[in-house]
Amino acid sequence: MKNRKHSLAIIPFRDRTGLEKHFARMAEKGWLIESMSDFSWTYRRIEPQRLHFTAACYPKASEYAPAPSEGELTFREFCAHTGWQYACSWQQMQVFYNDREAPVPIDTEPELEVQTVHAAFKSHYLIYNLLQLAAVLLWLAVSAQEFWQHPAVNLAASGWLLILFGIVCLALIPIGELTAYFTWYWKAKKAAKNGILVDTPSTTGYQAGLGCAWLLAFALWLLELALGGRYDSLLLLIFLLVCCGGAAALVRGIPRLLRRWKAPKSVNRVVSTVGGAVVFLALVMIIVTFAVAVFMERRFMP
Amino acid sequence: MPRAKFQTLTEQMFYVLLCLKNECYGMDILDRVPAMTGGRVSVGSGTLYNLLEQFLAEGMIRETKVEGRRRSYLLTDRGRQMLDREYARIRAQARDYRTVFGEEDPK
Repeated sequence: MKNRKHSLAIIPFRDRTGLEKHFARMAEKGWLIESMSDFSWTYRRIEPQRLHFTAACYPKASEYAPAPSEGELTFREFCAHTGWQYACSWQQMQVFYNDREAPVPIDTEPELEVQTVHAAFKSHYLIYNLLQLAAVLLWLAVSAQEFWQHPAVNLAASGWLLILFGIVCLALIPIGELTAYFTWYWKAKKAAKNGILVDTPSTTGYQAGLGCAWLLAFALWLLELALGGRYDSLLLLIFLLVCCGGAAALVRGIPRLLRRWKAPKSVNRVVSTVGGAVVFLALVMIIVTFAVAVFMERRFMP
Repeated sequence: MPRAKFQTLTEQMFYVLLCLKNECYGMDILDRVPAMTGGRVSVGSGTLYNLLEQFLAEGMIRETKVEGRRRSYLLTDRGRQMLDREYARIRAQARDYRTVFGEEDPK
């Protein structure tokens, strides 16, 4: 019998209410969340039980620190005092569980809670989504420019429309997340003045729909290339996809690896930032080379 | 209109400061507030942690002892002023209530 279980990170970092409900459902099935990353979550087997979960924010937590700070540990001790056991962290989020019937919530002042959540989200999540959006919009701009240079040829090729569709899908993911976050933030700020905390909206269905649409567009594109006998382009595309995946894994993996090696926070921050920039530049160069290769292939195609 | 920071104190802020009239470990406040209010008011651990940080930054409390991660705090004069102002506000509200309803017991 397996004692560990892995799953994809199916609920966004922003959706604290969704995360808490999901972990409570998993605990009822006998799985307790043990570790989280941007891509995957790990659970460990427990006796099925009813647990309360809280995804609390600790804005000063750093993904570059080799170990939790004294402040972070004090925060966890405070929570343990009221029965909230630490489960795991994900960036500035700390997940706690409590087996008491009606525990005192970790956050009991909605105004303070909204301030804390916003401070935590500003330092990671919002920047991450804005960068993602900027990168996709840049890609869209480059593709649109290329499209307008040869509109007739491009319109005739279904591959271009699929690329465009895929890019729009990718852009809609951070747009949806940012919209959901700010809609929640303004509502929560207002409601908190009356002592009410607003639940975070779920975008899991929206994201899954966009992800499926993107995968479908991509599969159709691959199929079109394969049926058209354009195996060079097909291989280039798969290579590009592997590069994107590798780049993402490297960018997220560098700070985790340095953290595991107990590198000092400042060293981790510098190495991760420089490493991330180098990976990004390398990826841009690969994409440009890829684009030029495709362009040349088209231009000299009989 | 945004409310100025600590212009008025919430019930939880009020009781946290009240607990610190005498030197007290941060974590002990989590038990003292429900004990003081007969269980009517409880402060969440995350809320208390953030409030202590903010009160320290505003000079409303000061750290008196550090033993490992256990820290004890004490109310400062500024903190006392804030409490007094809040108490005056609550008394004024009670006075206004009596002006309208007299000395009759609330239903």
